[in-house]
Amino acid sequence: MAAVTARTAIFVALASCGKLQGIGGEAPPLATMQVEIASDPGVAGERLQVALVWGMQWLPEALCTGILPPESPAAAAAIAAGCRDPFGFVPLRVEANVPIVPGVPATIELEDLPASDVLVGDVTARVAYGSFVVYDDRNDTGGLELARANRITDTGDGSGDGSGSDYGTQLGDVVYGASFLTMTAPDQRLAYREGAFVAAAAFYPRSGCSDPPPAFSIVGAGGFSASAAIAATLAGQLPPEDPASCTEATSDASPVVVPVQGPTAATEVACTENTADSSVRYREPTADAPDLTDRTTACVHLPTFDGTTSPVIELIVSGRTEDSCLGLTHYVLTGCREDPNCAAPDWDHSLAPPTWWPCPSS
Amino acid sequence: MLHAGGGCSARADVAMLRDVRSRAALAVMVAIACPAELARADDYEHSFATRPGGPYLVDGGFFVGMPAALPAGMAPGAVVGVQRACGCAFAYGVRLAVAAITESSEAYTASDIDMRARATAAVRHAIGRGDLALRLGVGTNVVYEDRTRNGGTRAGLTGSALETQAVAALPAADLEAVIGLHVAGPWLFVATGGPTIDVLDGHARGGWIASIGVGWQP
Repeated sequence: MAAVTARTAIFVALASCGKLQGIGGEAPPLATMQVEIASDPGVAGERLQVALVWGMQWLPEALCTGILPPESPAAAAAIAAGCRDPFGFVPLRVEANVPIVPGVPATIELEDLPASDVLVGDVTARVAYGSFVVYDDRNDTGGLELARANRITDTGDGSGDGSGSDYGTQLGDVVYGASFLTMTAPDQRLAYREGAFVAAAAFYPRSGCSDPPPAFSIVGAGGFSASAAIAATLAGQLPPEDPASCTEATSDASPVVVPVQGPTAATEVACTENTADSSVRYREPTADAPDLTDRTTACVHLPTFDGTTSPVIELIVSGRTEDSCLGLTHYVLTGCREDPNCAAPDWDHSLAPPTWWPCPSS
Repeated sequence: MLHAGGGCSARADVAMLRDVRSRAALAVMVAIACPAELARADDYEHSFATRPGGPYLVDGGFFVGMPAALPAGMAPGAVVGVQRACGCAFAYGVRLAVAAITESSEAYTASDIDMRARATAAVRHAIGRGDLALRLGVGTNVVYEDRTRNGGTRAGLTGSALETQAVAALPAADLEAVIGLHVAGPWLFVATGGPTIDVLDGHARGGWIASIGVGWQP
């Protein structure tokens, strides 16, 4: 009886001291990261910020893979002017923005898990990678807005004002650097993994490094060369990383140092893509010539990977030199929007090409 | 005449037949509309006879009520109670209800188990088979709370960042209307309902409780 009384007293005492919190109150972050910028870009009036940007799984279009050699100097010039780094980090969504001061680590806290659209894989094995992007918030919006390639619109005015179905935008901010810019250079990236890890997904692969640990972590790799990556791809393998260059740490272990690569090299990390599956949207040549000012053009055969030469010739047009993001616009005389070899072409100007058409009919 | 007399007899038969039909229809209508009255008239010692009970009433049943410490939802559970009648107009007793509920917000999921202990006092009045009462209960809501950070497991959180448990006793009171209906022998059908209040973090919170169950009054 005395024991029961004592237990009751203890229970009542504990009960009286308990703090019920319910479903409200401030929630602790699910992950905390420290980010530091390697040096001060030194621009007057800069409003430096760091953004956490989740990457997308993106396949470059055939002409831009680097696997097929350009068929002419003009084609090489247009590809150079219109194709982004096929091994570069392609952003999908900006998750967080915080101010950053050179020399002082900035803290990024995540209140939510990555949404399923940034996770690559099925529910039993999926992963997301993020890059820390340091930028100058020139447009004073408080956040980094991703841009798109300025492809020529269907109206042919080339203004990129959004009137077409594939509009371009100019980047309103100046990007100085990113912790994960390309797979051909050393990187540090935020990884989030759920379930198993499937390396064969080839999502920003780190072959030779250990799998990213479950949940949030900061992982790094030394990068591989483009030639090694192409050779491995042709062999059906993933390009290997130097195991000695691999790093792995908890998300809050130490600051991620973002190098200042400069706007020229780093702007691409803020350029997202309309399609992720290497598909190309072909355009019908308009009667009036599109504005090709400050754009690089070339007539090329439709790319194939079987060693044959396609009889279809397309006109590829790069963006303008002032554009933030690189991209190619494709014109074909005959075909459909998704396939120039479609059985029932949506347009056929092969017998009477527009007067401005610079390429052979076939 | 014969023909006429025969016709008069036929009219009388028809009238009698109509009278019989009318009475039968009336009997059927009364039987449908007032079965209890007919039964009571025919056999007063029916199978649902009750008898006066003693001073003690034990009851239990299903309970539903405002969560003691969560801002939303209705917590289902069970309740038991014992009551002693003191005279014909007053009763007192104790009650214990246990209810559980899980609610979520964007950041948290909380599972609460509420144990509601009450000392009760009631004013009551018997009407035929029924007992009506207004019952005041005062006591405590002992709440066990298990709170989990949504997504915390997937994010790798551990310890208190992932999950917390707490127990607290909250002052509480109920005011319930009680309806007891003697069904058969010592058994009653009991239904209750009314407002409740508890004090959480220094703030009074109001809501509703209700129960339905069976009573036993030996």
